This record gives sequence, structure tokens and C-alpha cells, in this order.
Amino acid sequence: MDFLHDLSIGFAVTLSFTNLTYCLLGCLVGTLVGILPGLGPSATMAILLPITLTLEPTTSLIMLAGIYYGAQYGGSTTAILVNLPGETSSVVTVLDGHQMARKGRAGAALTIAALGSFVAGTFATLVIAVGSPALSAFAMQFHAVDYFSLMVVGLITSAALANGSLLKALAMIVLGLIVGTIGVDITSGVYRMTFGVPELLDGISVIAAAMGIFGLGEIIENLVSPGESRAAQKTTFRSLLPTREEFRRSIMPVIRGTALGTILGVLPGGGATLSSFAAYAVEKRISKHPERFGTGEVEGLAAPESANNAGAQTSFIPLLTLGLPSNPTIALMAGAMLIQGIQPGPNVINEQPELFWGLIVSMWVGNLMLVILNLPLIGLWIKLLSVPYKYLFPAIMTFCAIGVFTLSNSSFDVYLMLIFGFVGFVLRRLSCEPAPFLLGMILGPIMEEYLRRAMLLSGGDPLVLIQRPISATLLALAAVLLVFLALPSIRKKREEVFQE
Amino acid sequence: MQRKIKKPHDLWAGVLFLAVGVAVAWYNSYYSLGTLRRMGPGFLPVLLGILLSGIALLIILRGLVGQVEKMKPFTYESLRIAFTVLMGMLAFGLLIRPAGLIVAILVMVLLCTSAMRGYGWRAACLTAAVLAVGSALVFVVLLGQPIPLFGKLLG
Repeated sequence: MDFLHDLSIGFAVTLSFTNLTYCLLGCLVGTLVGILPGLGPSATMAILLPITLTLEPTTSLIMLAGIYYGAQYGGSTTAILVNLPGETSSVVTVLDGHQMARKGRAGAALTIAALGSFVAGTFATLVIAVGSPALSAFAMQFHAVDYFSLMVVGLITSAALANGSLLKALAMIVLGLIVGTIGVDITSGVYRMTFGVPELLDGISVIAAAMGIFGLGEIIENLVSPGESRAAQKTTFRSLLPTREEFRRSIMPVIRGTALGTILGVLPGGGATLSSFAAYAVEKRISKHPERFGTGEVEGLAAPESANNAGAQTSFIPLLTLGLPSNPTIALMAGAMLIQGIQPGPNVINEQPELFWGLIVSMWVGNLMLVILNLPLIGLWIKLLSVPYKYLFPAIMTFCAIGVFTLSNSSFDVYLMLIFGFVGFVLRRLSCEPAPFLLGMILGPIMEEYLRRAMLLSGGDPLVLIQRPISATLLALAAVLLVFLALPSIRKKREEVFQE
Repeated sequence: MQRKIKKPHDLWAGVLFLAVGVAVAWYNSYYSLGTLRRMGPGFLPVLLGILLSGIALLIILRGLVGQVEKMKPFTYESLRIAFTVLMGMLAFGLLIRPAGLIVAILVMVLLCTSAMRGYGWRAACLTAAVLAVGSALVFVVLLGQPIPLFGKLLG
């Protein structure tokens, strides 16, 4: 058993006193900063990165990984408690997680999120250890056109998330794709839709847009219709724990979410983000009560949270085996490695096995620490809910403002955020759901790149989309999904028309 | 039978999407479209603009048929709240460089608390002070973020 030997190297590295301490410290600080509303994992990592740079490379990366998991968990906690997703992957957590919190099941939601994430993290770590080489070979099988089709599937699944009309969700996706094209066109160097604003050359910051639409949009909506207030809830010890029923209902979603997240996380280009969307869509589709999703279904929380964590874990694979960062947070990790003089890529595993395996084992240890750290603290996090909204919303605005400002140290992102806050307010009033918009905005630039490459390789023949088996399968899947989503509304509309 | 607008929110959303779609397609058509093999910078945006316009037309059509659904209205009060909150954020952006973090947060919080009716001024001042000092401590002192506490204006 080769990988047992490799893992033992990893354990030897991780279990040293120094590394263990920094791993714990990373998890703790990551959770503390990540839990501040408005600060997602990327912002948290960016803020805390400088602290780790003084450490020795392995220790520093282990601490950074700890911060990453801590920030992710902290981010989920705020998503559930105050309906503010700090990162795109927790956009889905909000849907049912926050509704559970409103029903007084906040403790149960946090416990299930923690346990689901731990299960997913454990499994994904094993997969990385056993399958890193094979998985990167599988990812190499994907051509540009296959990636493009994969993202089409991802976008269609995000439409499944929207509770309202399918058409509006599709429009929101396209709108997101359009906003994603703003900035310098990489291939030609032409400035697209920048209107002479130099800050727009790099495109619109996804984080600023997300904070505006979700954070500010939500604040405005809550102030406009304060009816459904987040009244202080009685938090007895019992209400902190999931009921047996909730446990039972979470088991399968956790397993499915873990599997999906593990697979999708490996694919460079937003795989980890897709995984939580996909896991939610799957649960909704196979559920006997899809109409209850969005009202606090425990399945709708357990699956995406597990997928999210599994994906976060396996998204290290493309970084460690191909040198490809798959999301902004992993890109920060890559940046830290470069500063430490480590070139992320296939050579790390051979040249620095201690670092590679130490990092992998520390992922698991970090996840374990998170559970131990957070389960007792859940009661404390819930107290956040009993803070009256009157005091909470100025605090959230403060954190949003500082968080966005620190991203690039300029006021421009703050202005972007407030513009998107207004857009979010208008769209909410028109019953358009913002989650598909964000996914479109993230995937847009990547999709365009892959589409161009695919067309260049095929000599401008669009048939290549259905000639490659992987791509054809994915597109067929997207088509089937779309039909499934459209069917109920078509049927309903026919009834409506007949009634007239 | 008189055709009335059944779903005003669908209609308005559709009109909005249509306007954006047409504008995007038109604006980007000035960039080179290129060929399918070598796509120019305008290719995808124009395509997406047309796609959005198409979907928007369907949404508008659907707003005209079917059962009547009520829309969450844009009342004067809702607009007042939206603008007050956003003005607070704008003030933060404008003040953070010249006046520093403390002043920016004080002004932002005081502005945005006025969005909520019945927020007494004493509570507002207290909240603003606590948030300004607290975030200065956490972000600048503890986390060492390079944010000016007091800007040039204040010496």
C-alpha cells in the first residue's frame, strides 16, 4: 500500500507540535474572521495571508489551509444565521440554511453543516491521497470544448435553484454572462464595455457584486418589509441538536453531496463552486417534496454544504498536480506558495513529498479541529441571532464596506458594491433571483475562453460540440435538465390559457 | 375581453432585460465580430445581447397572460430606504481616503440608521461610535490592514 506510506509521511509532518499549533491557530482565526458578516473566505484569506508569510514554508501552508477551512466554515455560519453568503459557494447554503434558522433550527443547521463538512472533508482527503495522479489524468482528458459544455450544465443547474420562473432565471444567467465580459478581452486586448473607466479593465469584482446584491440588497429588503423579523429565538440546549429525524434525512444527502463535490472539485475552472449548486439541484430533483425546498429543508442544507467542503478539498488537486488554481481562494494559496519559493505543479509531489503529504494530512486534521472547535461554540454563534436587527444591519454594512475596501484598497469596489446593491433591490422587487446571475458572471469569462479555443481547434466548426463524446453527453444532460425544468411551467401555462 | 397586464413584475423585468439586451448587442456591434473560428471581442457579447432580448420578449409575453399575480410595489418608502442605505455606502467610499476609517464609518452608520424609522439619535450615535472604534481596533490594530485611521483632511 503505497499511499499508506505516503500518508504516514504526512502524519509525521502534521503531528509535530509546531504544525499542529499553527493548524489550530489558522482554523480559529479563520473562523473568527470568516464569521464576520461580509467577509468571505477570499477576503479572510487576503487579510490573514501576510501573517503566515513569516513562517517556514510547510508550516505556513498548513496554517493557510487551516484559515481556508475556518473561513469556509465561518462563512457558512454567517450564511445560515444572517443570510449573507461571503462566497459564491455558500450562496446555496443560504437558501435552506437560513430558512431553518428562521424556524428556530439554527443550532441544528450549524451542527449538520459542521458534521456534513467533516464527513465530506475526510472522504475528499482520502480521495486526494489515493487518487491525485489518476484524477489529474482524468482532468487532462477534458478538452476545451468539454469544459465549455460542463459549464453549460452548471449554468442550467443554477436555473434549477431559482424558485421563481425558469425564464427569468435564464435571463439572469445571460445577464451575468454579459457582465462577466466587461473588461479587457484577453485574446484581442480590446477594452470591452469599460466606458473609459480604468478600474473596469480587470472586469467587475465578483465579490463586490455578490456583497452588493446579497448583502446590501438583503438589508434594504429587510428594512422595507420588516414584518418577518428575525425575532430572538429561544435557544434551549435541545434546539441546538438536530433531531433524530433531521439526522436520518441528512445522511444520504451528505453522501451524495460528498460524491458530487469530490468529482466536480477536481475540474479546474469553478468546479468547487458548481458542486454546491449541483448538489442542491440533485436533492431538489430526487426529493418527494421539491416544492418545500427553500423553506428550510434539511436536505437542501446538508448536500450543498458537504459538496462545498469536498469540492474545496479536491480543488487543491488541480493546483498541486497541474499548477492550475481553480477559484480565487485557491489562487491566493498559489500566490502564497510562490512567495515561499514553491512552484505549484506536478513537481511538488516528487520534490517535496513532506510538504505535499503534510498539507494533505493537515487538511484532514484541520477539518477535525473545526468540528471540535465549533460544536461547543454553536450556542455562542446563535446568540448573534438575538442581536436586534437595528444594531445588526449597521454592523453588517460596516463589515461589507471594510471587507470590499480591503480587497483592492480602493473605493472603486465600494461604489461597485452599492450599484449592485441597487440592482439587487430592483431585481428582488421584480421577483428575479440573483444566484444564477452570480454564477453566470463567474463562469462567463472562462466559458468564452474555452469556446474560443474549441472553435479555433475545430476550425470554426460548431459541430465539435456534439462530436466529442464527453461534450455531447454533457450537452445532452443540459438539454434534459432544461426540459425537466420547463415542463411544469408549460403544463401550468396551458391550464392557464385554457381557463381564459 | 380587455387584455390587462396580469403579472406586472414579469412585464417590468422583461422590459428591463430587453432594454439591456438591445443596448448590449448594439454597443458591442462596434467591436470586431470576427469569424466563428477566430471570434472577435464583440462576438460573444452581441450573441448574449440577442439571446437576452429573446428571453426578455418571452418574459414580457408571459406577463400578459395567465393568472393575475401581485407585484411587490416600488413605494416611496422603499425607495427612500434604498437610497438612504446606498448614500451611507457612498459616503464611506468618498470619505475613507480623505477623512479616514473612523469618520467614514461614523458618517455611514449615522446616515444608514436614518433609513430605519424610530431609531433615536442617541442609539444611532452610540452604534456609530461602537462600530467605528471596534472596527478600527479589529481591522487596523489587530489585523494590521493598511487602512488610514485618520485621513489627510484631519492632519
